[in-house]
Amino acid sequence: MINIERINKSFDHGRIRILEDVNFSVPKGQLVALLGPSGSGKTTLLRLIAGLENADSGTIELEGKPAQSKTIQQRQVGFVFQHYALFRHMNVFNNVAFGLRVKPWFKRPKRKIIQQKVQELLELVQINELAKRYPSQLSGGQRQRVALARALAIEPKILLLDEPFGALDANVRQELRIWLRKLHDRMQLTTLFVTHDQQEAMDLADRIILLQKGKLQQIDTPENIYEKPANLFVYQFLGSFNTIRLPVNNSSIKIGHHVFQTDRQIANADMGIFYIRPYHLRLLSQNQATTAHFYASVQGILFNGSIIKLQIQPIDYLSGIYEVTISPSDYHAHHVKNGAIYPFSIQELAFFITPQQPPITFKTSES
Amino acid sequence: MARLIQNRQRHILPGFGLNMGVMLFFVGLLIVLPLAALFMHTTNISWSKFVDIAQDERVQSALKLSFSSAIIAALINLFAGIMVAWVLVRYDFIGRRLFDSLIDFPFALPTAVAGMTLASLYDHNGWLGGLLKSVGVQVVQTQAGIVLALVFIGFPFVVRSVQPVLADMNQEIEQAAKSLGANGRQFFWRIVLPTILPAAFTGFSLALARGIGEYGSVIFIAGNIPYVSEIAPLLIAIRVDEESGYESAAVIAILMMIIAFILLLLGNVLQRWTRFYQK
Amino acid sequence: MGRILLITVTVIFLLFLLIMPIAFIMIEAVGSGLQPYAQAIGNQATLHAILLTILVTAVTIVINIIIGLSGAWLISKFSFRGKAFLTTLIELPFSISPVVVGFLFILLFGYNGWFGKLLDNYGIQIAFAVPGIILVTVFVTFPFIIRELIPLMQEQGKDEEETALSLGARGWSIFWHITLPNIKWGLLYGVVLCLARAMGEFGAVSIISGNIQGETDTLTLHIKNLYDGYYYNEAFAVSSLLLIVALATLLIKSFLEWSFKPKTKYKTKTTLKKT
Ligand SMILES: Nc1ncnc2c1ncn2[C@@H]1O[C@H](COP(=O)(O)OP(=O)(O)O)[C@@H](O)[C@H]1O
Ligand SMILES: [Mg+2]
Repeated sequence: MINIERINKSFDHGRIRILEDVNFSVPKGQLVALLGPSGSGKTTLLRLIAGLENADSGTIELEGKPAQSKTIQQRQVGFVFQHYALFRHMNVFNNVAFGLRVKPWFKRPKRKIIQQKVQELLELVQINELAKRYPSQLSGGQRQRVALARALAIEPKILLLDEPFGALDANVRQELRIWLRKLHDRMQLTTLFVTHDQQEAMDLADRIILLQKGKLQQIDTPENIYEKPANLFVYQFLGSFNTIRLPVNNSSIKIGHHVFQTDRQIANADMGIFYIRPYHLRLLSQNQATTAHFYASVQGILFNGSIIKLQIQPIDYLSGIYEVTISPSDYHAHHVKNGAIYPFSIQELAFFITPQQPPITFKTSES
Repeated sequence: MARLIQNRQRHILPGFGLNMGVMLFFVGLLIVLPLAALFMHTTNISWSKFVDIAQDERVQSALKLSFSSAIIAALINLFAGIMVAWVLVRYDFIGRRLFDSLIDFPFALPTAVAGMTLASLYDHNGWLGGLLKSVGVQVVQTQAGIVLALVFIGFPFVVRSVQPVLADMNQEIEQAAKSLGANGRQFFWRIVLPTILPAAFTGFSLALARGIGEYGSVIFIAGNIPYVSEIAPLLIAIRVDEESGYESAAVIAILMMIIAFILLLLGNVLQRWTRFYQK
Repeated sequence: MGRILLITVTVIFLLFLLIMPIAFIMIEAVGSGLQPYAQAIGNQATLHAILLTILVTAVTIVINIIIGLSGAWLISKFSFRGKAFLTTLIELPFSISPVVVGFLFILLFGYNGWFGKLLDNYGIQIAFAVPGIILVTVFVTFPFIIRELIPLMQEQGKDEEETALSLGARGWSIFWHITLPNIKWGLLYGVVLCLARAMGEFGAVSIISGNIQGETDTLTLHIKNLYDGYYYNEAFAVSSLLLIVALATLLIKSFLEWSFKPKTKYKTKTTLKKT
């Protein structure tokens, strides 16, 4: 378990504030992602927990006990650097054995036991045949496994990983994600990993901690963080969106003849900015045209595996280019072609009264 | 209590205190203390006395000789160094590796041995001195000899500064330049020279600094005739020997340091100016 | 055409500047035969000078290794106030004349110096004695090792050390097992540079030592004395010893550069894969 309370951290004698009043906890056994754009302070936060950095104020508890009075060695957390920091002059075996060999003599396992334990760890991360290789002779994925085995050698309860998949190419990344998840479950670890890739966080984590400019934005399950963003930043960070500027009257807006409403009371405005997720724009068939909100011509089609992205340009009521996502089956059913015109409907729009608050949803009252 | 812990752990990696202690001790004992002694010694000299010593003709001519010789030698080394580095990096010829290893020879050879050897080589009845004498050139006991010795001991600086930069300039840059229509000469003047200039100036400054203070290699060949071929470091050595000449030695030393400092500062500015593209 | 001209000019220049002095020293050394050569090197005064030079060089190297490792660790692993100033101070010895260095230490430890009298009361003599020679030699060679190590350690960063820390390692063990293996060739390189300069230092030593024959004359001072006394061939005979050491350091240096500098990665890769 990791418990962080009101952590503040600055560099250069207080001139640059990196973390501001950060609070969160990671329950035992969970795999949690620390997500944020680069430069948001993720690495710094991780290093604070490991003891590689000192906080200006605030408290850190590990496994229910205050950690700040402990040295790094006493904290016994497994820490994996972004670029793995393998000891380049030691082979894989010696890298993994390092943590066991530097224990004080009265705690140090016998040579035989070290041998056996390293062997087990190498098997666990599935690289036992590489024991004699040097780091420069390994691929990125193999290096990462060595770094993990090395961190696990000291039997940490807590594992901290800084951008563990950042340096890998796409398919290796996918494979290692699944493997990491399994490893985490099997070893009953509490794991906190840093990433700037929201997809990775969604795929892998039990919970996501979202950080921006050193401030905590939201802590939630992947589902909630996506469906119920806490503020504008979270909404924008977690996926693509379209924006429309429209006047607000009586808590409602009009697109063509169609009225979209919310049950909240909102002050009138000349121009509000409304956000639409690409999948909240629906491509309709020609015979559903009566429910259409607008017509648009298709300007571009991007095939992206399981989903297809369309760039559309409305020909009435709205202006600009919008992004729509549809499924391959819809794509085939509607015979989508570049340049052709189709009816579209808007399922919902999001509106932020202030950037710090959760969005208000506007929907049409027509069914 | 919390404060104490924070203070104790200000640096995460171990060894800050110990190594700071070691460094403060050695830097203090070996560098700060001796320099402090010199400055304290100088402050005891009255201003008029200081000016008297500084304006002494022998002192002036020694300083002029030291600085002008060092500048001339460093300039020669700047050009020769760029040429040698270029040839060593770009061309393959018999003995290239041998010459490459020998570039540092002037650093490895004790300066006194170098000075003695050069003095003998260029003496009237030495291998080269005789030859030069027949065409009416005298090296020994003239400024030419001093410059020669300084060229020798400062030679590796420019070569070693420029060489890695040249080696780093990959072929693609040359090919790109050529594909854009540059000929060999244009390539050198417009691409190579601006690239190596900062490094060349670094080497130049190092050679200059070394040349200003050089002693061992110069005194043999210079002949040390006051007002003619007596360098400033030698004059300091003479005054120190006289016991009563400490004040004079201190003034010359201070003057040397100040002028050298100004020159190096200028060199720095020049260097920064040639590095404009890195900002 | 231009290329051949350039190569020719360069080769001739280097022949005159570098090769000729080497040849000259060797020829003059044995100029009056091998017997006198052996005698010049084997006599009492020369042997004393050799021993003194070895002693001074060895102590200087040890002190500089301590300073180099300590200072490079401090400067590359920590950030603290005054770091830039400290770095400047470390570089300073390069721009001070050796003669001035000798003078500085006389001001400190000479008979009328700051500490000279005080230490004299306890029977300790520094100026005009071996400790003074060592001090000025350390001053003159101060930057060599540390300047090799700082960029090396900075480039390697702190990640490996911090990882070792998180795995439970302590100070010495981190230094010994993680840092030192990564910098050992750089350290050796610095030691070679330091050695060459330490054994050949002349200006500073000639001032501080007082040049007391048979006591404080190192090899270079001894050579100067021989030369001034018109023992021409003897001077070159003794010089040939220093020439040999100089050439040996160049050899080691080239070897270190060829084997460990840019090609490190490829080398280890091909040789180790088979094991
Ligand atoms: N040692 C340091 N000194 C000064 N600034 C730092 C230091 N370490 C990190 N920073 C700054 O702190 C900010 C956050 O850095 P970091 O935690 O590495 O972000 P992230 O890992 O989210 O990309 C960055 O703007 C970075 O420049
Ligand atoms: Mg980071």
